[in-house]
Amino acid sequence: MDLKVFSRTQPHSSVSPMSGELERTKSRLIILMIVFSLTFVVIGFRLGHLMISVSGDEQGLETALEAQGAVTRADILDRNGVVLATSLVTQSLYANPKVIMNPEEAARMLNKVFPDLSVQSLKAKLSSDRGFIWLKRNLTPAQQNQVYNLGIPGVWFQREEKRVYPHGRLFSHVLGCTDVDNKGVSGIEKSFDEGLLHDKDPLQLSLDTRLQHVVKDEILRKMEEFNAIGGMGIVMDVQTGEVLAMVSMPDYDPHHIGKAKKDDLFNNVTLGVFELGSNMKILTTALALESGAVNIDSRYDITGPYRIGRFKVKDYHPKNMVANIPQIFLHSSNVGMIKMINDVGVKTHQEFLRKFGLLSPALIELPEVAKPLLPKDWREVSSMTIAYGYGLAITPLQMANAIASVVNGGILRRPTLIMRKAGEVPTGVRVISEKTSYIMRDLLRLVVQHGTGRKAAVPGFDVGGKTGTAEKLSATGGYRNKDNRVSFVSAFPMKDPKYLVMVTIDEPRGNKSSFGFATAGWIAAPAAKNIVQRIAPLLRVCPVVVEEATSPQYEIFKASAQVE
Amino acid sequence: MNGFLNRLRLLPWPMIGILCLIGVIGILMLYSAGNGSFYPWANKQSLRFGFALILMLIVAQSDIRRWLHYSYIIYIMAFLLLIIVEGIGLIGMGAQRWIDLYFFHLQPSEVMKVALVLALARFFHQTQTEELSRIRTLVIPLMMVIAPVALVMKQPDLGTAIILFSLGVALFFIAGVSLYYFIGGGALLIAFIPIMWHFLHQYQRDRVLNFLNPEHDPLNTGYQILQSKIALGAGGLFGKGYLKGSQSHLNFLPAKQTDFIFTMLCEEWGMLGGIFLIICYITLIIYGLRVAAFNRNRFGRLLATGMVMTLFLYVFINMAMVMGLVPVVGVPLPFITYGGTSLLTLMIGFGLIFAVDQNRDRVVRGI
Repeated sequence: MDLKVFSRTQPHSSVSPMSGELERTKSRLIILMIVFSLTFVVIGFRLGHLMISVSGDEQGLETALEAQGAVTRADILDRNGVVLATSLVTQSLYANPKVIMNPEEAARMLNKVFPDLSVQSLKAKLSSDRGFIWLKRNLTPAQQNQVYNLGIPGVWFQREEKRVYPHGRLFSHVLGCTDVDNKGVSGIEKSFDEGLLHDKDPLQLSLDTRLQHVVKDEILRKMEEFNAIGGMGIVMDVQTGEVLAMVSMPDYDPHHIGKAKKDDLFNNVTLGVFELGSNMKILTTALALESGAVNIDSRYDITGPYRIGRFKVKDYHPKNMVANIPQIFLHSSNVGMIKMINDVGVKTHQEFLRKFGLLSPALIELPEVAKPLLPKDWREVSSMTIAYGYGLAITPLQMANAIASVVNGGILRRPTLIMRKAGEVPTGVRVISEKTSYIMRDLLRLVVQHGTGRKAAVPGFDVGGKTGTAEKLSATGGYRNKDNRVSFVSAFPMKDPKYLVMVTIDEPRGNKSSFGFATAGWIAAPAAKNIVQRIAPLLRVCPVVVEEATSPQYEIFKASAQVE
Repeated sequence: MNGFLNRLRLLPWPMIGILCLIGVIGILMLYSAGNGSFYPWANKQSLRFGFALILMLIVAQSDIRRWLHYSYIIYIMAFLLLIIVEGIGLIGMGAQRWIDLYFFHLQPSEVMKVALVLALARFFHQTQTEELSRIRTLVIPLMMVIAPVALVMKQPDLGTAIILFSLGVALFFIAGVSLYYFIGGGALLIAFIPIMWHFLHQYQRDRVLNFLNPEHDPLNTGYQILQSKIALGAGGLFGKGYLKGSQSHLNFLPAKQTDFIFTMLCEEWGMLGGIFLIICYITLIIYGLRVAAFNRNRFGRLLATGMVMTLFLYVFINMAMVMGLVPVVGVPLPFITYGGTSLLTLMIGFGLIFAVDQNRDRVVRGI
């Protein structure tokens, strides 16, 4: 080593041959220094941004958990917090066949994990000339782990979300379903698509899973018993407009929507429009009383038949008598209804039905809502038939909601599937006076105590209601007098109604137990009874010592009942 | 022996103190990373740090003329070692980087960092300033840089390749190479990016792509960055307290004892802890640049600049990486990350800076 190249100089030796170069180096070192400083300023700012502006322990952990299992679609709950719809993160397996080196070997390895995929089909997929091919959707974590361990190059996972309905078919018509892209295509899933995708909070419906189950169970039972083709049921809170149960049969499995038949997908409650027969007489009577055209003592000769042009309108149990309003209602007299509506007038009738929202589509948070079918030319004769339940086809939901407002004191509220918290109940619109509402309560109670709805009576509960047996339209025109749609609308407790139950059974066949009858009184009323009996305790309605109707018209009612 | 102790007294002890402070912070973090246990990381790291510290003090006492003399030999040996790992290196983490010396895994690419600085410093030391404007003169030092960079890229170790390359650029710059060459070189580099992309391994490409959009694939390669950012956010100003970082201790944070240890430090000690560590590093860097600026011989200046640059690059790339500013390239945090070789490199580097400082008044002529 040649150490002579170094020479010791005194500190601060002034002139050096290299001072020019030293200066240049110094200026470049300063540039370097500036670069370093700027870099650390950037680092410092970034650190501050990440640590202060994104601060918060819970947030951090939450985000961490989210990264592992975040779903983009919010849950749907029932009113008690029971999960009706939720999303699961799954991994789907796909391959890029162009990268697969040995399709034969890969196929054999994958077949061990998925015995349901044959080696041949896997091999065919893996040796195709495409750049992307699905192998298996929605793997279980165990399967995913097994595939990881195989370590086949060219096989990857795609994170996906799967919508799961823990109650299966039970809410199929209300909830609807989502497509493979996680978009809502029907029901609540569609109407709240945006909200479910953007809100983190679950959507809480007004429905009650327990009630939904009871209603479906009873409808299924009647359908089976009377060989019916379908049915539907609604339970509503008459004071808030909340729908507590909404069942439409037949229904479908939302997890296998491809297997559903066309009829299964049809929500009868909101998408089906029907002539609901005698149920309509509740509204006709309320209107007649409310309009002042008749009062509770008014009498009409209900001797039939009543001629409208070339048609004859008869009663189901014709009676040649002069009847008061309770008697007409109790007998469900078509003739009486016609005479009442004639006194009310077409204009008032139309106005009244419009006020109840029966002439426009039902307002409910579902995309599947039908328009009512109105008479093309609403003349006197139209009003006459509508008065006893024909000529105006509306959805069962509209009917249920209208009757809810008749019994709740006369306030019409928008029906809803979303839970209304206390204080969020809208004031609603008054459609009939309290007085009329009270009379209607007594009349409905009377039907269950002494009229066609006796089979709907529940010991310990003052249930009121009205039957409705409607002949179905035939495809060729006219009515099929063998095929009925029977329904029963009831409310309880009748003293101060809280809940409404509506049941409809489609095309029941009379049998021994109904003595061959396929009418509402024999089929729908018992279903309503069973439902009330089962749900009243769930709704915390206490049994009472059932009193007679208590209005000032009590004596008249009682007298009317005895006439029969 | 008396002389040795005397010279030891002359060393800049405040700087050595800061260095030891960073080392202790590292051991504390590794203790926390082991969930409050010296095993398996903190115990080994303590031994290594002590060993490296002694080595540093010895290097600090050395005469830089010896380093000047042996610089090319060291470079050639490091280069041969790099070639050897291609043949007999261990396969670890998908990359061949180590030679097993039983107690240490020898990482030739780390040795190369010191060797490259030494060799370039010697070359420029012996070259007249006027000659630097000739492109012919620059061919040899360019080869000195490009050859090891190419080998390290092939290993593949993108982080080290970038560091080696940056070291070369910095030394060219401080040596006084005309600025026009840097502008031209920069332009050429940008033109070569598509070609380099072609030579990158798939996992390296994934890292770059994931850097550009980490949320795209939160469960796989983007996971590291995302979790790291979350941990930083969870730390806040004062942190969650020592041994209490949930991201780290619940094992959300990947590689918490190696490349992502800064994240863990920030989660537990907060932004203030992070800033404190950064200030420690900045102090060391300023000191190193001062040594370079006030040294009277070019070899010393270049050596000090090169070693400071090494420290700076480690700190910058590691921190920027965990903060999601640059792709995850696998660069340790100096004196803190678990692992022996980078610690040795940096300690020897600082030993050299101290040695340069001791020899600041020597004027060195070309050999």
